[in-house]
Amino acid sequence: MNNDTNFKRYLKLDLLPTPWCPGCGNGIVLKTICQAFDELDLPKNGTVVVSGIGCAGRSAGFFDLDSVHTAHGRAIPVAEGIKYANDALNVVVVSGDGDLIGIGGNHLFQAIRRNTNITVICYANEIYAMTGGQVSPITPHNTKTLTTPNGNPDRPADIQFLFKSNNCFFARTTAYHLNHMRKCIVEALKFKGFSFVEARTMCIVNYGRRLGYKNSNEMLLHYKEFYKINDYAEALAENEIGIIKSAPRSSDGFPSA
Amino acid sequence: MIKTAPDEKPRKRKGIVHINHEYCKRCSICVNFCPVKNLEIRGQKLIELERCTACKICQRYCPDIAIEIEEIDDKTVISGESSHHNGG
Repeated sequence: MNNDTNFKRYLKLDLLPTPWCPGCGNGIVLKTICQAFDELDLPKNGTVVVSGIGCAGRSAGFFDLDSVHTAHGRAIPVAEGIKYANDALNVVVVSGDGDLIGIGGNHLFQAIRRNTNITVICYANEIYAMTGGQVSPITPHNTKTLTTPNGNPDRPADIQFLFKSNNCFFARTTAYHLNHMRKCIVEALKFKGFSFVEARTMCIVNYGRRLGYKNSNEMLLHYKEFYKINDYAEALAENEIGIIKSAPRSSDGFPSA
Repeated sequence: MIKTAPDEKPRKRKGIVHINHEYCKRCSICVNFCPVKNLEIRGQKLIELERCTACKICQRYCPDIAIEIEEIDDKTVISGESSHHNGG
């Protein structure tokens, strides 16, 4: 065991291999979350992982921590309940974009308003992947999916302004930018208040194939070419990743009016 | 002794790729990322061609935690050269 493999202590290695398709990016995010846990040396007895339903929801069972696999879209309310019951716990939500922003959109909005001290890590594969690739709230405009064969007619939800208006933490990162993703997750775990990390991952089987990608490596290289790092900016453009700068907070944790 | 293919320039080997074949799903992310083309999929199995420079990019990008790189130097004695780590 050296520093590179220390993160494995947060995983149930006997349950591996993971259930995801070959080339799925969820494993990269799972690994990076564990590396961030290892960097902060989070206690195994004081950390709880909550997940919803979907491909990404399966990851909660692989953490060697207390974990809850909840109903579709209801990961954030369960996590908030755990945090209110025992404030000493570190509560982390891991789930997909369809679960958090689509089905559980209302809960996300109320959690931003309440500003509970939990961390949400969203595996944003831009699709409802487990059910075959239906359009999700952050699927880009004009993208072909199973339910939008002529291209997505709607604009993707730009949720960063919800977080900015309530002085919550928002970061966007991708599966290609591993160091950046790790930094974003560490900053989110350190943040006192509601923090959200949108980690773009690739889904090759139900999403990339329809867009003409031959393998998941091409999708990773697309992230490399498309996204530019712009940390601590006022707002992120469509092709930028980074951490949103939040305004100074008053001592009670609520945004200063 | 480090074996190299006859048509390739012999390179100093700096790492051993330990591949967990139970975890590996042969997604070929590591094959495409490797800067020295050390990894290859042959017959539904990921194998190492003993050219590793221990940059660890495959270990970092492997989604299935199937790859571990062991760094070696000139003095390291590699045990079980042909059967242990090149996939048989």
